Amino acid sequence: MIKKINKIDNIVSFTFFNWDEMNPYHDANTNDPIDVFNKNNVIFAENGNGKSVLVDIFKSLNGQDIELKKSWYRAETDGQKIKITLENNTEIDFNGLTWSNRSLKNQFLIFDKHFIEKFVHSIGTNYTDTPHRRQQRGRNIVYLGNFAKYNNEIDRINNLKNAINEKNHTFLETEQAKIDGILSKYGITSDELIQKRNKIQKLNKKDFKTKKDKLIKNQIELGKIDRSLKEKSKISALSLLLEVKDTFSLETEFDELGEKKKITINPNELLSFTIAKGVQKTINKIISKKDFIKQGLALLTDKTTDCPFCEQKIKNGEYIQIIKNYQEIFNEHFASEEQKVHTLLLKYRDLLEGLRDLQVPSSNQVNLNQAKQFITIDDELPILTIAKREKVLTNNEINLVLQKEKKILDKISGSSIDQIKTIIENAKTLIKNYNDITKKINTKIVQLKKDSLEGKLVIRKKEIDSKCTQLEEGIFLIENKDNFKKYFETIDINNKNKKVIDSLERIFQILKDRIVEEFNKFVSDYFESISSFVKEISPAMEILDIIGQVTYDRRSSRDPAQCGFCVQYNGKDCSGSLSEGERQVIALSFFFAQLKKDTNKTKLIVLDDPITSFDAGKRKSTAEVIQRETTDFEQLFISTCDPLFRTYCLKQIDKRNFYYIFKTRGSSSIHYVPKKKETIYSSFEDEFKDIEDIQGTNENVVVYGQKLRFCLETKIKEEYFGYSEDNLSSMIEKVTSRKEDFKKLFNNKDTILQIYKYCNTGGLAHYPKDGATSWNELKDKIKQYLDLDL
Amino acid sequence: MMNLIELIKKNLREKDKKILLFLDLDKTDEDIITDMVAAGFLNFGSSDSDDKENK
Repeated sequence: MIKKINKIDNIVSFTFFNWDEMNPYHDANTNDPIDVFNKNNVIFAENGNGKSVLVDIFKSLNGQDIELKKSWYRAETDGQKIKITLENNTEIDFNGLTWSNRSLKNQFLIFDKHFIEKFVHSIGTNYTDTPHRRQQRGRNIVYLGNFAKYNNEIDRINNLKNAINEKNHTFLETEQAKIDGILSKYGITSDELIQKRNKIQKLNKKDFKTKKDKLIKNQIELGKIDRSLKEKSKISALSLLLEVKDTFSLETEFDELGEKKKITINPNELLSFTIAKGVQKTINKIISKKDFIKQGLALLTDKTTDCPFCEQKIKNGEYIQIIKNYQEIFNEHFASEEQKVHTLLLKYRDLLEGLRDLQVPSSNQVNLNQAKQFITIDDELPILTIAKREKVLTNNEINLVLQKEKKILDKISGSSIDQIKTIIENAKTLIKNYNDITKKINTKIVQLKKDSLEGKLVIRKKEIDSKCTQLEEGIFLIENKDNFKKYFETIDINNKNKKVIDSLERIFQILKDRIVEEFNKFVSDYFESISSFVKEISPAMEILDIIGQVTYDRRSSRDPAQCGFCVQYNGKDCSGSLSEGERQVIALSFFFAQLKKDTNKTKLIVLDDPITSFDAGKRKSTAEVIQRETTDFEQLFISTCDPLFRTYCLKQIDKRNFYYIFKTRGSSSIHYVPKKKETIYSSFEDEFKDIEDIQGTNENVVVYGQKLRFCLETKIKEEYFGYSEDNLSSMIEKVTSRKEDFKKLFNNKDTILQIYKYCNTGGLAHYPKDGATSWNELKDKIKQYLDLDL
Repeated sequence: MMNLIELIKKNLREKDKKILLFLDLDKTDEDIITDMVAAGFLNFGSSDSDDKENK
């Protein structure tokens, strides 16, 4: 329990408040515990005097984030100080930043306008809408407690989720539009593209040219198949290409003595054939018969009559003939050798001329050109001639041969047989290569004819078509690989973003379940109490629970969630447009329901002007409820600027002290009002006596105007009727039966009413138009009041 | 009194709790999104990543 606020220094309007110095009745009556707060405390103050500052100090003590600002009239460098004494004489100090003792943290239950703003929200459908739309949108609702905040939290999460979703959609959409543009030219969908992702990633840009070349080839091939299909008759007429025979060999067959022998032409030997070499050769050939002839000749004597070889009779002189015959035999062999040289030279010359004149069959190119219309030739027919240098060499060799042929027994030298052999090998290679290609072309021609006959060209066309399609796709994908890569990355990022959206969706769903759970608990904890307090404070009002299952879901995003209540006034729904008073009834009822539920009765209750928008009936019932519902709590502070509510509180609430907060000498001050004479006007009258010493500021015009009105009202009431008197018949009785006592009042009626009128009008209730004039006028009225000596 | 978000915290999956850390409702949606982007939870193709790609 708070015993005393000893000091408030430099806190907003409390420029320098000191409890002991400011309170004029301090220690005046030992039976009246004026220097301590009571269990219950009613604090009255007009607007602007510092009532809410006191509530802020309580909030700060409670641990709420409240900034206690410095006084306007103090230097910025001046420090702040608050000293509070608790019932056990513990002191709590505030140094401008912190409290020295946090024993009062969370010990206050405070009702003020912020409580209403925080915990009561009237959500109405837009009245500018058509009735049909309002009907569609759902009903009006009143959120109590944290449910407006909870509802807002869920909305925020949902909106955030939608915002991210939209952003993510736009992010993908931009890239998607780009890709769709590219894909539309090729005729595949983005879904199909995504399926090809792995394939695209493996594609190498280096393969682009190869694929392009292959495509061109296949397209040409396709064109040819098309032609083949259209011109079948031409295909059957295609001729095969001729192969070139390889006849270039020094190996040859030679008919010798009726026997065919394989022989290798040796140009050097042929060209060097002479008589000597011919004879030698002849001898070599008949050498096996040499002994036979020798022995036969040895038998020849002068007496020999018979030939040793043929046993015929030999006549004298016929030996010469034998020798001649022998020569004939020799000559025959020689001629044979010579003929052989001739023959081989001719063969050699044929070979050389063949080499020199080597060329392709003339019909091949024609046949090939015809076939080319239908088939693709990988390799063209090669040129089949020997090199120019080789031709020169070959011609020289031919000339040598010709020379030899003319003079067969002359020795000819200079054969280039080694080079000729190389030329022969080269020619063989050329011919082999030529024939290989010819064979390939012929195979194709044969296959084409066969396919054409068997109708396989259509299948072939389909195969190539398919190849072309694959190649085209490959080329397209390589060409756009960078764009696709970026698109796939965008999809990955988009999917990652979706995980955040999914998280938010899960959080959203859990929040939706939780708010319903919390609301059901709230209804269970508070609804009955709230409903009962509403009835008690304002009988015309009624708060209604949700009918049916509680749910967060709504028919449209602009609908309120159904975790709220319906409020009726005189049976009419006013949930969507609660007046200030209705809102305050609901808020107060909720506050009282919280008090009822709170098991910690050591708490301090603070009610700051709980009846601002209430009519007299509600003010009275509120005072009654306050008295009843706060009895068990440690301490109560009620502050108000309303005289009627003050009166109700002072009547209803027992164990209470009464305080005024006034501005005295430039600072808000808490003034205790003694129970026996519950006014402090006499202290103000003391101040009035020193009015000439007081500065005539605009604020003082208001403050002293209020004090003058207060003195006039309370002094007349207390001195003539008694402070607690509010019974009209009793008041009339006093006036009529004690006329003498009221004589001064009757005699000064006009002056009193003039001063009172001035206080209530003349700008005193508000700031004056002209400070100096108003201050002078006010001073005159104060002097008039003092002169009355009521 | 606690926020509703505080009340559901312990019922969430670990990955959802990470997202929850960004849900400072005193901030605007855009600011929350910016925080999530900075932390790498979201990406909308910022100029930074474009720069990286160009490099």
